[in-house]
Amino acid sequence: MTLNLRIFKLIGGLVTASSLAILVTVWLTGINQISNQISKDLTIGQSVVERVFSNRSSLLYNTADVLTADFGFKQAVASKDQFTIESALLNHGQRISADLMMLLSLDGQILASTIDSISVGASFKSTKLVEEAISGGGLITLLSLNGKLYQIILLTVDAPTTVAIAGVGFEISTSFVKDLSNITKLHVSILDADHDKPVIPVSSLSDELAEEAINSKFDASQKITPFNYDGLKFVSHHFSMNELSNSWTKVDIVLSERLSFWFGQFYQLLLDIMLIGSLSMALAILLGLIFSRNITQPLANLVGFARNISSGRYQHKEVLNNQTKTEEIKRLEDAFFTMQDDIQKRQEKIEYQAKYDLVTALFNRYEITHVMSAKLDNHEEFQVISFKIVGFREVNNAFGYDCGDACMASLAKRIEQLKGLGARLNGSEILWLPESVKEKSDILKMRDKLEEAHRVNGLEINLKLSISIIHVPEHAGTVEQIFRYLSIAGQKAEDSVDLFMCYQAGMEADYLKRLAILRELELALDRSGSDPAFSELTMVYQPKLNVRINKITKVEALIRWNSNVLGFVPPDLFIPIAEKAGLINELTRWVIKRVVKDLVSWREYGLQVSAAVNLSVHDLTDAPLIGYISDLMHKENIDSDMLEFEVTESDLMNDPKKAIDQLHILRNMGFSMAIDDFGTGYSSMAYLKTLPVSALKVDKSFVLNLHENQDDQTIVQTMIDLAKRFDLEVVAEGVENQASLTLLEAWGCDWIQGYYISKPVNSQTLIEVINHYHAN
Amino acid sequence: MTKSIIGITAGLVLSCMVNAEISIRVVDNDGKPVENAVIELLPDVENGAYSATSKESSAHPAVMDQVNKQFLPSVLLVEAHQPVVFPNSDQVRHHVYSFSKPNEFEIKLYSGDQADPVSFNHEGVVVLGCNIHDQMVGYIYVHQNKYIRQTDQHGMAIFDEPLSISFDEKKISVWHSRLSANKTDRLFTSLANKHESVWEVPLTLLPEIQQTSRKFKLRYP
Repeated sequence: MTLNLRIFKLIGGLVTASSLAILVTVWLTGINQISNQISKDLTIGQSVVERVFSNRSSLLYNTADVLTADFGFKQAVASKDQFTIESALLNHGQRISADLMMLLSLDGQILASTIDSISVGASFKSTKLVEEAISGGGLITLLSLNGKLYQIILLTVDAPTTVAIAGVGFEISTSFVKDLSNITKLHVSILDADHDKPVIPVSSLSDELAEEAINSKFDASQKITPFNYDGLKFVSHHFSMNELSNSWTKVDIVLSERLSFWFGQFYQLLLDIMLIGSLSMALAILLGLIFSRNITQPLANLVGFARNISSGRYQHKEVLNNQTKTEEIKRLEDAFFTMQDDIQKRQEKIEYQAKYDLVTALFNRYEITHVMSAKLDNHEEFQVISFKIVGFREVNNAFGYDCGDACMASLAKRIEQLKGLGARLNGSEILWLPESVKEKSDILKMRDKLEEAHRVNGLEINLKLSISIIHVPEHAGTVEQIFRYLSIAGQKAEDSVDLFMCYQAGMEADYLKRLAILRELELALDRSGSDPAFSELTMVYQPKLNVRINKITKVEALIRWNSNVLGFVPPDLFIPIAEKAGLINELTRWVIKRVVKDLVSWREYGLQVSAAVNLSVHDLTDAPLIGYISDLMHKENIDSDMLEFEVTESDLMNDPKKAIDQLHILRNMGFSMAIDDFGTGYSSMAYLKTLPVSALKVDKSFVLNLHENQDDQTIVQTMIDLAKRFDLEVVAEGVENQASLTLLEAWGCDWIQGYYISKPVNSQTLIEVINHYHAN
Repeated sequence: MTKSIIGITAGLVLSCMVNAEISIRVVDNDGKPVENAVIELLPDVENGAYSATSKESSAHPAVMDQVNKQFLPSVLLVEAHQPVVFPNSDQVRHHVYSFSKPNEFEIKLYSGDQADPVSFNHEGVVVLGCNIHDQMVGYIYVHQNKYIRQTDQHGMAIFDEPLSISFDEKKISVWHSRLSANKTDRLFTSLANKHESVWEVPLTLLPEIQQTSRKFKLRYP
């Protein structure tokens, strides 16, 4: 139910109920009032009528008294002076306008009369009446004479004893009754009480109505109720004149009230009330409508307002302010506006967050996607440059994430100053869309500026940025491609020496190939576990010749992968992939397991040779590996001097502390360790000193052309000298001819490894190779 | 004179018969004694001679005094031609009158003994009134009969002197003010039954009316 309807019902109901209540109350009390009023009127009417009669009696008495007390009149009566008597009667009668004057003898004979119908000499109506008058000295009565009703006094003429009776009377005429009616405001009817006598109907009403009034079943003593008044024309009150109760002619007086007079007024009142009720109901409904409109209209406005908010159309406060409102509505509106403001702020924030990166205030990935998409649609030519902080995780770890964020913010600020569009992708990568295409040299200069120390939280932090670049639409047609190719280029950049890579066609194919390699490598590892005989992965071993004793006592274990799908995959292709994919640990375990098995088989064969396994830097951070190795050695009963490890110099440089800790553990376990590819990294002398290694492996790039390259000779000789001073053994790789071997031998190199001795061979062949060599 | 002799003779006879004394008691219908009734004995013979009253007695004036606005006595027997004086014993004046024909007279306002005596020459009841005081009513009974008595408070009238007339039929006349409405009518009857030594005469009287200035008063003035 709507509020409108509720208010309408409430007000309408209240007004209807109160109108009905008033109506019923007025109806009930009105009828009661009328009943009481009529009863009162009739009672008063009776008193008035009685008083009128008594006043007339007084008048009659006074006149008769004066007449009969007059000595002259007495004398005239006594002397039977007829003329004198008649003139006296006439004279006195005229004084009060009496209708009847007469003189009676003591035996009831009419001696004189002023009206013709009562003739002198005739007998008066009743001798008994005369006797009663004589004995009582007089009487007043209602008397019907010759068809007319009189109020009459008979008074004795005493001279001094009664000699005659004087009579004075008023006629109860219709005009008198009408006078009574006027005085009492009631209808008056006078009738003979004795039904056996002829009726004297005298009434202020017409005969027909008088009959109805007289015969009315209601009199004043009966209560009119709402249920019995209907159809009544009169309420009548019958009474006989008490004062004239001994009247000769018994008379009833009937006072009647015409009900239509009262009920006419009453019904008019009821009609008025109903009219007022209807009007007030209409008014109340109108007011209710206005009232409810005043409530519901603002509510409806607020509903619309809320809908607008929910659909994102925010409005000004003025929209709702042009109406008169209640305080509550105003408060509700204020709440709505506050809500709208809050929503708006939050939405702005969300929108901002949807578009911008919170840390750097640059666009986020989502927004830059739109921007680039728009540019692509416009067929714009542009350059996308990715700056990625190298080792950002380390910054976070070292200085905290606050600091990392601050670095990103600082970097972003500098990038913003370069003009163009900046966007933070995720983590440490920021894209930059320069306004114009930049050359590599410009970009590298920019990088220098970007890498300058950032003052962050009181710290000065130097960042290293790797840069990848893609040219659009030359290399990418979609945003998705842009991101993917940038990512590929980014990886390549990170792997590259100058941390810079521009995407080139074919990179994706390369990338896909790496993906294939990774996938196949995983499969190969799985399969090689189940059945080594059909393993795609195999181990080969390259002998190391101990120069001093001219014996092969060590080999370097090298992994080979002949993929069923990809064919032969060189280790320097798949090892970095395995390292990046986190597959290297598993691969290393496989290798160590394989090598240990071969060591066991060689031992069974009587070949005493120790094998060196290459450890990746990831292996050095793989703490459980040590437990694995030690368990394996115990299980196969292999001594620790049978297994050696080689770690490349560059790996050691990446995370020296951890790597060195791990190396110390291995060393303490009795393993020998060598630095592989020595000379390619940038290890300092002091650093070299702390390493728990027992050998250096000179990188083959220095050895391959040693016999004819003077520079290489100097380097290698220096390296050997250096190693000797640090009391380290030296292994030369890539020895392919006698000349080189002779040089190395002369400089004091301890071990020779290379095709001149033997190429890497499988474990079976190794036995033959070693036996063959030793046999020569 | 002859008539009187006859009357005396008859009276003697009667007296002889009835111990020479006639006692009459007048009672009303209730048997109560009626005072101030006037009884005349009537001779047997119609138109017979009355025993006339003595000249001497008629020479003496009768007195109808007025005391306390009342006639005193209320009933006075006088012989015809006998003068009646109306002394006024009250402080107020009276206006005594009578319309009783043919003895009507009027003594206008007077006091004390100012009024002249009045003689009534005709037999009959003279109803006296005072024009000033309506309640004053008196009666003068004018007669020419020697055998006339007025009943006392016991209703008794005693004729104790010998009758000089024949009274065999025992006819009497009785008057009382309440006997008729006109106050003057007499009842002619005969003594019928004797109770012990007294003749009883019953009278039907009009109801006693309190004499006031106005007998009929309006109950509601």
